[in-house]
Amino acid sequence: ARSNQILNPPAEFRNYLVLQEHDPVYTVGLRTKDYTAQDEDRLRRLGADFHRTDRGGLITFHGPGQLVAYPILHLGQFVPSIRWYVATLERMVVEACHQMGISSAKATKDTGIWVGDNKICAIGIHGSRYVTTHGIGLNCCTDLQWFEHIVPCGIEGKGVTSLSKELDRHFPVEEASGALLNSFAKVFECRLQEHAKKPASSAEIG
Amino acid sequence: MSFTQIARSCSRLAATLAPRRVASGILIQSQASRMMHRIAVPSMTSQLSQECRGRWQTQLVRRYSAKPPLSLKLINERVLLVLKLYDKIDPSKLNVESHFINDLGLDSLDHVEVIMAMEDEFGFEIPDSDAEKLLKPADIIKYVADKEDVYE
Repeated sequence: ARSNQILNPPAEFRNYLVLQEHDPVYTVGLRTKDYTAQDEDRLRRLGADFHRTDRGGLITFHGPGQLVAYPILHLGQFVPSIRWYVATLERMVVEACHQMGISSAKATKDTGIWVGDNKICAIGIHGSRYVTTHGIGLNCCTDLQWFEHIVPCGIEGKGVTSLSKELDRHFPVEEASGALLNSFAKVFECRLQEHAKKPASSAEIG
Repeated sequence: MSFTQIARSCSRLAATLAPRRVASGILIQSQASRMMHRIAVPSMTSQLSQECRGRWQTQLVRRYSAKPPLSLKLINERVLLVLKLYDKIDPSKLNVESHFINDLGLDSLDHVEVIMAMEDEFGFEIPDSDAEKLLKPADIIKYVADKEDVYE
């Protein structure tokens, strides 16, 4: 998503957090050389879309049952540092997971939030002129079979998990979004104001 | 303080000084004339309220605020200053040919930080396809100079 807001002065920028679920789609980050047209065709035949994006990271999947959050923030109003932003994003997800009963969720040197050797949340961000786009994808009740056709985020030898799998019960996106919003407000130290839901736009694929 | 910051301070200062011009009859008339030329508002009359004058004068002042002129030397100095202020860079190892990753020990996230800092310093966006190629201060200096049509 591209903001048309005037970027200066940063204090006037209106920050957003877009929450949504996608129809099945594989997205690739900046390093696209590893993925051929043949790979794309194979994945499309599974019934998913395929998009190349400008975020950091390699391939991942977004789809039903995965809570996607796209913060659009002017870091000048927070800490003008991408490193701070990524660390804070990780902390937000870890705290949300702890709230939801997954005490072993943690951030490691591999990007994303992990439970043991399984990734429960992917992180892929982009920043330009201190405005962030893209964000996170937290598996709530995602059908994890979608991930079996790729090496998620290019990290070999690791798996993928979800809230439902870890908690051994159906854990809907709606329930997770409540916890995530609480955690976001706490960790980013801000107030949240709700806007009406709208259908997802393909321009917001992360 | 960088020139960009100086320019911003100057325009802020000019904006705060603007209301004083309202006190001068001659300047009021002169300002009104200029406004009629520059702002296409059909219904404008000479009986402008104080508030309107202040607002338009501020707009007028801000419109004249532009980026400071650049030279290769100045770009060089500003690029190196931004880099020296980055806490993970050792200034003693820094020169225009230092490779951010191989020589200065930055990682890919640091590189993103550096690019964002340069965007902020020079006031324009650097697309990712360009950013990937900016691996030394010299690359950034050349990129900014090309962008701003600076040759000397």
